[in-house]
Amino acid sequence: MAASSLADVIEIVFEGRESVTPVIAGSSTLVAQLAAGAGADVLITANAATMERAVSEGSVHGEPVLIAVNTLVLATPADNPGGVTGLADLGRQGLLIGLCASEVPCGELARRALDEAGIAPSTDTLELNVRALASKLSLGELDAGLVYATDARTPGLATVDAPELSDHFNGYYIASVSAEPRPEVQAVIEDFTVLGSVGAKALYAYGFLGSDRRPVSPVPP
Amino acid sequence: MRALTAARPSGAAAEPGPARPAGQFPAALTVVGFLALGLLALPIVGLLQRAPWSALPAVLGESEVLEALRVSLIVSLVATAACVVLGLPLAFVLARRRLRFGRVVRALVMLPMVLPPVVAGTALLFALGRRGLVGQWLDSWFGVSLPFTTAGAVVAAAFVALPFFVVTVEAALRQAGDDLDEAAATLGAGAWSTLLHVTLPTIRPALAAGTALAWARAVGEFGATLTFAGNFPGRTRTLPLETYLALERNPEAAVAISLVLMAVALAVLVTLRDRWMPR
Repeated sequence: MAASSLADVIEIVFEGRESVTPVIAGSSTLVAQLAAGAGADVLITANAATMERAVSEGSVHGEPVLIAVNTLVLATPADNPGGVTGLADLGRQGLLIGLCASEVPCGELARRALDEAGIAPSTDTLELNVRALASKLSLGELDAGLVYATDARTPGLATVDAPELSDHFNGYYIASVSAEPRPEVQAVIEDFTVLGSVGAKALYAYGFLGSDRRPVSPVPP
Repeated sequence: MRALTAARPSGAAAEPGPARPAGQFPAALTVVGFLALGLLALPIVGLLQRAPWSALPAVLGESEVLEALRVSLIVSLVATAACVVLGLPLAFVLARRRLRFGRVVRALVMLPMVLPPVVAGTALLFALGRRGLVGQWLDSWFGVSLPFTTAGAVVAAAFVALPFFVVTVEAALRQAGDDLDEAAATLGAGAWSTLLHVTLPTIRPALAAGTALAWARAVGEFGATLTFAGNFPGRTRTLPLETYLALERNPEAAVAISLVLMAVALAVLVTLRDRWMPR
C-alpha cells in the first residue's frame, strides 16, 4: 500500500513482480484501511503523521524507515500571468491563489511554511489533492500555488524561487505490516531502503529528495 | 398510438373502463422489487448504525458545517431555479418542435448524466474558465471569471442537474400530447394563455418530479463543483465537499454531516411531494 504521489515510482518498482500487488491511495485512506483489517504487507505513507497513526494503532511493526522527502515549490502557469516574483505574492489581493486543503499532507505543509514566513495567503481554493492543484495552475486558471517539487514537473507549470520553502518537507516512510515479513516482502522494503536499488533510482527519476534532502543518488557512492 | 396516449388525461375521467383485475401481478416481481428496495436502503442503514448520535449536536454546531450548509442551500436552490427557467423551454423545444437532428440533440441533453462529474468540471473549465472558449471573453469584456466563485458552483450544479429536469418534463409533454393545447387554441386561447392554463397544469406532477430530481442532483454535487469552482469555506465549499474533508480529519464527523445532508434532502422532497404531487 502506497501514497498517491508515489504512483509512478511504484509502477517502476513492481514491474515484473507477480507475487506482490500494489494498492495506491491517499495516505490517510490507507491507514484507515489497515486499521479496519485490510490485508497488506507493506505500508508507505507521504508524511510522518499518517505513519505515526499506523504505528500507534498497531497496524505496522518495527521502526518505519524514511525513504525520501518532498519539498514544496511556488508554482505558476508557464507564462506567469500574475507576475509572481516571490512567496509574499501569495498574500496579494487580486491574484487567484490555490493551496492544498490543510486536511491533506501537502496543505498541512503549506500552512506551516506560510505561517512561519508570516504570510496570510489570499486563498481562492483549497484543493483536495496536489495533482488537481497542479493541473489548475497548468491550465492558467490560478495565478500561483504551492505544490510538491515532484508535481512541479507537470507540463505548463513554471516555478518561482522561494527560499522560505526549503526548510519544509514531508517525509515518505515505509514499514512492514507483519512482524516477520516474507522474503518477497522484505525484498520490496529493501528496494526502497537500500541505496542504489530500483526504488531509490525511481524516486530520483521522479524528483524526490533523499532523507538528507539531497537528490537521491542513482548509484551508491 | 399517439391518440391513445393523448386521450389519457381526459379519457380516464370520461369512461371508467373495466376495473383492474386483482391478483394478476406476478409474485416474483414483488420479491425482486423488495430486493431492489433493500439495495437502496441497506447502505443508508449502514450509515445510520455507525452514526455518532451523541456527538451529533457538537458536530452540527460547528461553524464550518453550518457555513457549508448555507452554501449548499444557496447553490442548490439557485441552480434548481436555473434548471426550471432554462429547462422548461428546452423541454418544449424537444417535445414540440420537429428538430432535424432530434436524436442527436436529445443524446446531447443527456450527456451530463453520464459524464463523470470530474470530467464535467474539466469541460466547464475549458468552456467557461479564465482561459476557456467563452470564459476568456467573459473575463476580458466584462471582467467576469466564474471559477472559484459561488456563481461558478451554481453553474456546475446546474450543468449536471439540468438533464434530470428536461428529460422528466419532456417525457410528460410527449405523453400529454398537444390535443388539449389545440382544443384551447380553437376556443380562442392565446399561446401564453394555453401554456399557463392548459399545458403546465396538465404536466404539474412531472414539473414537481423534475424539479425534485434536479434539486437532489444539485445538492449532492461533488466532482464538477470541486473541479470547476474549487473549494473555499463560505464561498464554494458545499456539504458534500465538507463531508469529504471531514473524512480526512474525523470519519465520525463525516457520517454526522452525511446525516444532515440526508435529513435536509428528505425533508425537502417529502414537503415537495405533499404540496405538488397527487397522492
